[in-house]
Amino acid sequence: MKKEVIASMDMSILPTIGLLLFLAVFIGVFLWSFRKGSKLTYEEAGLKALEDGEVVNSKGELQ
Amino acid sequence: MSTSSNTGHLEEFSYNDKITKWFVGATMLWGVVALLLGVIIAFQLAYWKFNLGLEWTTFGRLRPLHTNAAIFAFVGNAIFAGVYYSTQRLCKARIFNDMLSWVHFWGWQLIIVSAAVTLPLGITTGKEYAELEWPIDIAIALIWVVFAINFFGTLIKRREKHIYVALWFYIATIVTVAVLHIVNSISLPVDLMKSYPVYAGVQDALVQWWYGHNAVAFFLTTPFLGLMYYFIPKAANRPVYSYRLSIIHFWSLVFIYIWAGPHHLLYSAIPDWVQTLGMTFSVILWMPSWGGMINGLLTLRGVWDKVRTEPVLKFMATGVTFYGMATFEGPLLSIKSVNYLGHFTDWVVGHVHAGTIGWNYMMTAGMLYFLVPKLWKTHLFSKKLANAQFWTATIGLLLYMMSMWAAGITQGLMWRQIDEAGRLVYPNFIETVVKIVPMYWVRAFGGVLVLLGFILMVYNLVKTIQFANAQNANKEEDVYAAAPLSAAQDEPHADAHRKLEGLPMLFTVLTLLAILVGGIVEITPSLLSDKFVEKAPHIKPYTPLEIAGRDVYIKEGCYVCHSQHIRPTASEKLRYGDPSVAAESVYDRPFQWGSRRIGPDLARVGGKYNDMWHYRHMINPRDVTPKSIMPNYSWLTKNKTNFKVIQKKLKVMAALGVPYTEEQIANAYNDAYKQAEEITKGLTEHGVPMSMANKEIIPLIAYLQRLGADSAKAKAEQAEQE
Repeated sequence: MKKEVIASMDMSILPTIGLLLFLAVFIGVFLWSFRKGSKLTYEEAGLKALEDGEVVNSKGELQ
Repeated sequence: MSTSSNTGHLEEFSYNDKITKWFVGATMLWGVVALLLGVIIAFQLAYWKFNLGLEWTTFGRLRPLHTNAAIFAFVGNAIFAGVYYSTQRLCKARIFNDMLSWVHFWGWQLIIVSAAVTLPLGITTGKEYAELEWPIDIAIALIWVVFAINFFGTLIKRREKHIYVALWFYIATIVTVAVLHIVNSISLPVDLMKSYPVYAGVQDALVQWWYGHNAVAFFLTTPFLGLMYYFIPKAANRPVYSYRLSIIHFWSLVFIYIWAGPHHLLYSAIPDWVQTLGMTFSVILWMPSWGGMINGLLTLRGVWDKVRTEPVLKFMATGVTFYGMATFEGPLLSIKSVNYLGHFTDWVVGHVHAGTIGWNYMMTAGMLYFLVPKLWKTHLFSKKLANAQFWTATIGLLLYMMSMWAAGITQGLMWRQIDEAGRLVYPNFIETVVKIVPMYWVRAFGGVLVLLGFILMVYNLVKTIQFANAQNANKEEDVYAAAPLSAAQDEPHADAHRKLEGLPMLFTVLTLLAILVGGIVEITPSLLSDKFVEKAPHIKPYTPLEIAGRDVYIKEGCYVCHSQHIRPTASEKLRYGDPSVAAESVYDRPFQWGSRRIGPDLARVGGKYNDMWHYRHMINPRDVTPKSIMPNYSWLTKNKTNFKVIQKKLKVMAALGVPYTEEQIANAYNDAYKQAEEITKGLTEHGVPMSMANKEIIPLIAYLQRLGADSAKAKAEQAEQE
């Protein structure tokens, strides 16, 4: 049954579906990331990578 | 022990940097091994005698070892070093479990050592970039799970609410590599050292290149993009150019990459719509790749002067630039008409090395120059040496790439050259080989430079570590402090993606969905339906002896230099015969279509020459093909065929769906022996002793003579009827 259903499908539609799916994901992510008011949060997020946490007790010679 | 006054709100913790140090050491060690292997096999192509006449050191066996060493040993350890270092800091938490870290480290090294032992011995599945046999595959899966537990455990106990973009790329890596490895490695064992995949022919090809291409994507690319997003801002001391762009970059890249696999199978017997889909998504992939590259490079705005003086930034900026170049070349090569020229040639080899040396090696070098002084709390031993490495590696890589472009395009053009009368201008394959051998010397020399550069770096880093150890006897860990996650307030204006970035599990599920869609659309139709393979009753399963011969073919890594797939074009038809169709590899477990024609295609070699030709060709290829660059396979006339295991092999094949009858299985041993004696009897007329009947060369000849024979026979019968 399963095999017949798949065999009778027109496979050439799949690339179009794939492309549309990607377009939807892309537009979705794009709009999401440019949401109003997100600028500040993202600036903060970017800065987070630069801190390792506060050193309270350092051993050995630090650069 | 705390000296801080505000520990009331803060938790104290330390980072496990010892594990990072060990992974750094392993990266240096395996880097030398992987590059040395590359140099050895490069010289073997330039001069065939460089295997020293030994079976364990032939190109066919060492090339898989080189690729495995480069990808999983060198790059793998570099990824783990970078991930362990950056994840802890981005999470402001110690790694989840120190014990698991050690299990991960030693488990992975053990896997590498077992690969280094089994591959030269010829123990291989014959699937490119997934050559390791099933017990090692299981070990890889287990160790990967240990890594995943350690990583996700750290995410859960993190003290930083936001999950930084580098971590998303690590998540995508861990999840996708697990899916790829498990799906592609499913097989049924014959014994401890041999197994057959559950997929055959077209299905195996689709699964294999879905895996193969995404090993590039999710082992060589996404983890390094994560490392790029962490280490470039760190080294430049400024945040990433655009965090928004990184979000778009991430989702586009993980969604698109998984679809690109079929570009390895253009002009093959897989359905046209799958080829078109693979090509289209490969071209689209250019955009997110360049989005990431631009984001990495623009992070350096304002500090370009440091790129000149700081080894870390110099290597990383170069790495990202080569990434941009390789990700332009990739989509270009996946355009069908360009691919027709480049596929099966050295152009692809050059492209791969622009990625692995240009991107992975350069990024790893930059990362190591950052990590070693940081971890050992000292300064780099010599910037001059780092500079020297930079130039030797860059010049070596350029020599490599340019020689491979020249060799690939030259050979590709020669293969398809047809004169006005419609004949091949270079009908002898060997003409197209001899032409590019000088390029093989240039490539090998370029490889030596890349290796030398790496050795300079190892020396430089070892000196740095020695100096640090002498200066700094105190090896206790630093203590850090940060507020616990529970203290973090929900941000009032956090948007949906922002929240998503803080929810590791949901994020992981969405990433999994993004990578599964492509695979499901492209692969499952072929697994569930037999529509892709036209019915061809004239194609019969291999005889027991041919199965044994096929395994010799796989063991010797013949697929590394010979393809078994004829593309549907005029020049291929003239050279090799009718285009390959899907039905012809329906019993091929694994498929052996290959990816490079260092020698000619073998899909229809059966019956083209007599048995004695093959016999002489194996003992000394130059006997029948002057100037051939194939090594002598004299041990095939000495190593004995294991006839006893053939019955078990047929049983496993039958369990996988190959239509062997009970009788065929019961008589496998006798049938194999009989066929071997028949072939040997024919050879005795030319002076070959009858004792050759139980040697490996006989089943190999049987297998080679079978390639394409069913179709040739059917064609002849049809012609007779007409």
